[in-house]
Amino acid sequence: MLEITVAKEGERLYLDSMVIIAYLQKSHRLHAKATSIMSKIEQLKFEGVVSSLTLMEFIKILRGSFIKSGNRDMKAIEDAIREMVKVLYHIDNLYFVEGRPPEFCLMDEIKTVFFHSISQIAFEMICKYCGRIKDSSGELEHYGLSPMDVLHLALAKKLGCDKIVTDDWALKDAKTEMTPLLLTDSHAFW
Amino acid sequence: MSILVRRPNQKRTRMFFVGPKKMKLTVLSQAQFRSFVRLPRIDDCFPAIPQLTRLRPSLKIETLREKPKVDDTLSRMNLWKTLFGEEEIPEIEKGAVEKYAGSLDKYLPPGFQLDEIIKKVRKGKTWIA
Repeated sequence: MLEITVAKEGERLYLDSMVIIAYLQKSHRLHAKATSIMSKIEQLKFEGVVSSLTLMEFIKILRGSFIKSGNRDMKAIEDAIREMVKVLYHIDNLYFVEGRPPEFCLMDEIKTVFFHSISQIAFEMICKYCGRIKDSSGELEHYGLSPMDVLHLALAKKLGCDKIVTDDWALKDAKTEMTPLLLTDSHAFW
Repeated sequence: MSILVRRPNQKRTRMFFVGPKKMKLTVLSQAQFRSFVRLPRIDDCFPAIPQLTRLRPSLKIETLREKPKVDDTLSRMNLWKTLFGEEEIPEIEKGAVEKYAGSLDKYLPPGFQLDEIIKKVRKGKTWIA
């Protein structure tokens, strides 16, 4: 069945680490689409949300990529990563959230409840959406949500986002939780 | 000022009338309220007062509430300090998206593919360079 996903004006979009990477690398296959999303966030059509989990993944991906591409100077690698994070701080209408209560929240119990609720929601999701068996060239493997995916979804829900922008089709399984706006889906519009 | 409330598990709609002088809260029955404001039916008052939304059991309270704004003042600063220490947070730039698109290219060989690394990191697998 044909399913069309449309991101409407004013919606809050949770950005996956891949979207940021695709925007920052011109040779990436999804560069044009990621840049288009980022431009529309800057032009206030959407609100963009970057969580600390997205940033952690972003940093890890860059460390791996720089080392794999032959760079062995850790200081230079860290400087380059900081330079890339700085780029994101220049963009208007892009919000950075840690996914935790603000510092002025004095009650430890509230912080505990907040953290617990995130992990609890994530846990419930991974139990609910069990995925399926995928046959990739004769080798059977599980295809479905990973712990990282459900943590992203739980954070996005907590932050009141409307859609999660990604290229990960596994998130389609949990579309009842939050609609994924898949950059690789020809029926997705923004 | 009058407030109309009907909770999903209540059979009766309860109407609260806050008196203009002493602001005393009085609970009226539907019939009392109707006779008090001289309205034939409750539904008739809704088109006249667009600010009021009648609560129905099927209507989720979240849909009535305005979405809270994201306030990232603290988290933005905290994340920045973790990476940059006391360095000042950069200003927002107009047209930054266009200006900085493809900034990563200068650090990577031409055509370097990150897809496999992205996939492994996002799926929580340990990746050793």
